[in-house]
Amino acid sequence: MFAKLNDNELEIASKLVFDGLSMAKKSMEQILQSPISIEKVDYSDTVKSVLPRYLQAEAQTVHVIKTQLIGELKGISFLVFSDQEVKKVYEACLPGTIINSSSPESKMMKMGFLTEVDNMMAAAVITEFSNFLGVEMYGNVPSLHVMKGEEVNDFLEKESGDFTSVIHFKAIFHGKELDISPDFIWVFQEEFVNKIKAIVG
Amino acid sequence: MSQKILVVDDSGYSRMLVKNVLKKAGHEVIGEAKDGAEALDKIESLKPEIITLDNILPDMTGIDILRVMKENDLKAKVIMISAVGQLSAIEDATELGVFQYIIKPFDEEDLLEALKQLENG
Repeated sequence: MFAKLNDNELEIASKLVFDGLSMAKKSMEQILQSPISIEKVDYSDTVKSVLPRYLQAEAQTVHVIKTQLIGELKGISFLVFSDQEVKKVYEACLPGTIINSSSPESKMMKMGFLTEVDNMMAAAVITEFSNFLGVEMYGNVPSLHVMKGEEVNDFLEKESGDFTSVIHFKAIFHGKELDISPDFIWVFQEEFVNKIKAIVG
Repeated sequence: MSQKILVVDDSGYSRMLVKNVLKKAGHEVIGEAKDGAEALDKIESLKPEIITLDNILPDMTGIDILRVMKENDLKAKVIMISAVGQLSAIEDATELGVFQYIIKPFDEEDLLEALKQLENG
């Protein structure tokens, strides 16, 4: 991904991404009250077929929470949970009265919980980036999209379509006690590279 | 001492969390709002003593709400509770008179301590 950066700039960019993701990990641990680790960070310059685990999971329901970045640095983040992971998270964090109810209020509360998890995780990354790069940027109100597994990669590609040149990184978080491995995907415009260059240069 | 509090957050889940903490501590939640327009309406009509205010709402920011309150002389003590943790946002909020800025995810004690300080101050 960071092909346009020299070694020094690459080191700074990688550290920034890692620090941002570490803050998100901390937020997730605090919300879920369970230890979380960053299992893997992948970099790429494309969002095509970014989530191979869903390519064969046609019938599986997947929850994608999207946050659009607003401000000086344009981008988008996606937090992706499988249906089973969502159920485990609900069971760990929400009262039984909400989990077991199918009332519109309970449904809204469950959706609200997922978007709030994303909101806090995305904001943790954004805060790190904003403070480090000295740019004004915020995450907009997150939106939840529920779809079939086979549709996820097309959705991510389509939603990232506004970006002519993308920088993309993906982290897999892992909660051993909860046994969840959500994906956390970030897409930035090339401006991200320019900001890193400006700081190092 | 019980305080009359308005809870402003676009997330129903967050509003529930905040309300539970406040009620458990014996405070009176007199209303809640899920966006800026509703918040401003309720600040004017309910006249809360304290507002817990999210910074990113669907129609405006918490900072925008603070500016409108200042322009219209709407008085209430504000505790901002937001996932936005940038230094610039905290500075803006502080300049506009926010009593305390709590970053989400927050501990119950953070909010209770802020309320205690408000009562004592």
